[in-house]
Amino acid sequence: MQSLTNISLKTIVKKQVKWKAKLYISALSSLVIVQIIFGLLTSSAGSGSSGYGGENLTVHFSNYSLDTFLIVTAIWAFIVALLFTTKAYRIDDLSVISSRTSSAIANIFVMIIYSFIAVIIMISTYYLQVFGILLVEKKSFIIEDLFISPSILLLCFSSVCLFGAIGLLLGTSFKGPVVIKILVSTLLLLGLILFFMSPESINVRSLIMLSNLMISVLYLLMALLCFSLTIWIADKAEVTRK
Amino acid sequence: MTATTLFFFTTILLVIAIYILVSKLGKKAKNIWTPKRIIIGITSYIVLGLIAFIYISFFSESKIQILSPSEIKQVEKKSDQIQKYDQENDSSYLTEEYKRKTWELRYEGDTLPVVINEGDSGSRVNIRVRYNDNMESGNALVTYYQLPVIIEGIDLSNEVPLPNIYVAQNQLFIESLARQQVNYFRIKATLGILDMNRELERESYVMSYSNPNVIVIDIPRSTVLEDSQGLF
Repeated sequence: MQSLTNISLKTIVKKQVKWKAKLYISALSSLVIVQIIFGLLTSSAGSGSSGYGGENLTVHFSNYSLDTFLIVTAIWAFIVALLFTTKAYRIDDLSVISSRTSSAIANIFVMIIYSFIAVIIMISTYYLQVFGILLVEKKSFIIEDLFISPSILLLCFSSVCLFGAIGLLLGTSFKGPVVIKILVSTLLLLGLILFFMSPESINVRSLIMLSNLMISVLYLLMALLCFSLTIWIADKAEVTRK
Repeated sequence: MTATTLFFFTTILLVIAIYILVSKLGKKAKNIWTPKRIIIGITSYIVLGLIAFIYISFFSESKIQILSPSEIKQVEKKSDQIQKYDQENDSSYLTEEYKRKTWELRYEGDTLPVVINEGDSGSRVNIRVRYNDNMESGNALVTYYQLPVIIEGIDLSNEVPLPNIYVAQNQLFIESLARQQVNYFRIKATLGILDMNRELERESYVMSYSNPNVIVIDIPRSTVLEDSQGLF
């Protein structure tokens, strides 16, 4: 006979990931809806525009790139990850055998899987939007790059993953020990003050100048750090019987 | 900054609102929106995107071509040559290649006043006079030369509207037409914010070139062109 204590953490996490990935599926459907809305909103102007005036001619370019969709997906990942750590979702943990640590690890895996699917949904929306533009504007469209390069794909995935990781870390921090709560609140407050008081001090130019692969690796390392901190905080917040 | 902040907050609020709405609806219509059906819905959406991609790749071809870097280099070279010739008042660069339209006009007498109205079109037109011994008196030949206009790698020379040239009350009128607006939809499956910053930093060679267009007026040597505006 198998007792509860004999079940390894790996088995518990595996079961939880399967359970949670299925249970939280509505998060992905909300992403589809949000993407469709933003796809429609930006259908006439694109992600950005540029213009030129001279020689009796005014030229206006509406650029259709992945920017808007990536920003929306990253924000979605952050909010969803934050919601995964809320009380409403933790109640679901009771349906399967879990501890705070195993739940945090399962959340991380679900977030990684969802980030990957979210990038695919994002790309689908992009091509559907482009398809719509081609149907309406048959004569005046220019295809500069139709294929998404693997480096851009990796960059999108790492960006979404990072935002998801930050969301999970933030959500878990507020469930952790008081010291961590105070520390995170102070850091958040300082960050917000810095952002609103002197936004010019936040310089990401040197980061942008790096290659796509390098940025992706940096993002993934940062995400890994956030995930590790999430597990550590969850472990610290574990309810133990003395 | 304000627009970006507003965009972020709107997105956050929209995502939260839709997420809550979907969750609530999902709970209320649990029998309809089962996880299996949601998975089918999401898969269908992804497949639709894939079909759209295949369609665009195979069945759509843009009629507007972007010049390759080597072609842009050639234009750059030509542009430099044109400027050099222009500074030296040498018209030999005005070849058939650039000729867009010729007007054959008739007037009376030996003087022809020229009235140029450029309006607010912002056009830059150089006007040159060439005395032609073989032309009959009372005839003028006005030729419009359209020099290359390359905007962000696209040759827009043919999009520049022609001027309106005519003779009325024994005066030669050269009028620029109203500014023309051209809209293009550029599809670039990259991250614009990265491309823009990287291009700015590298100062990659300019993708836009334009030279002032030229109008050459051929008249008989016996005719005197009156230029009251001092434009040529």
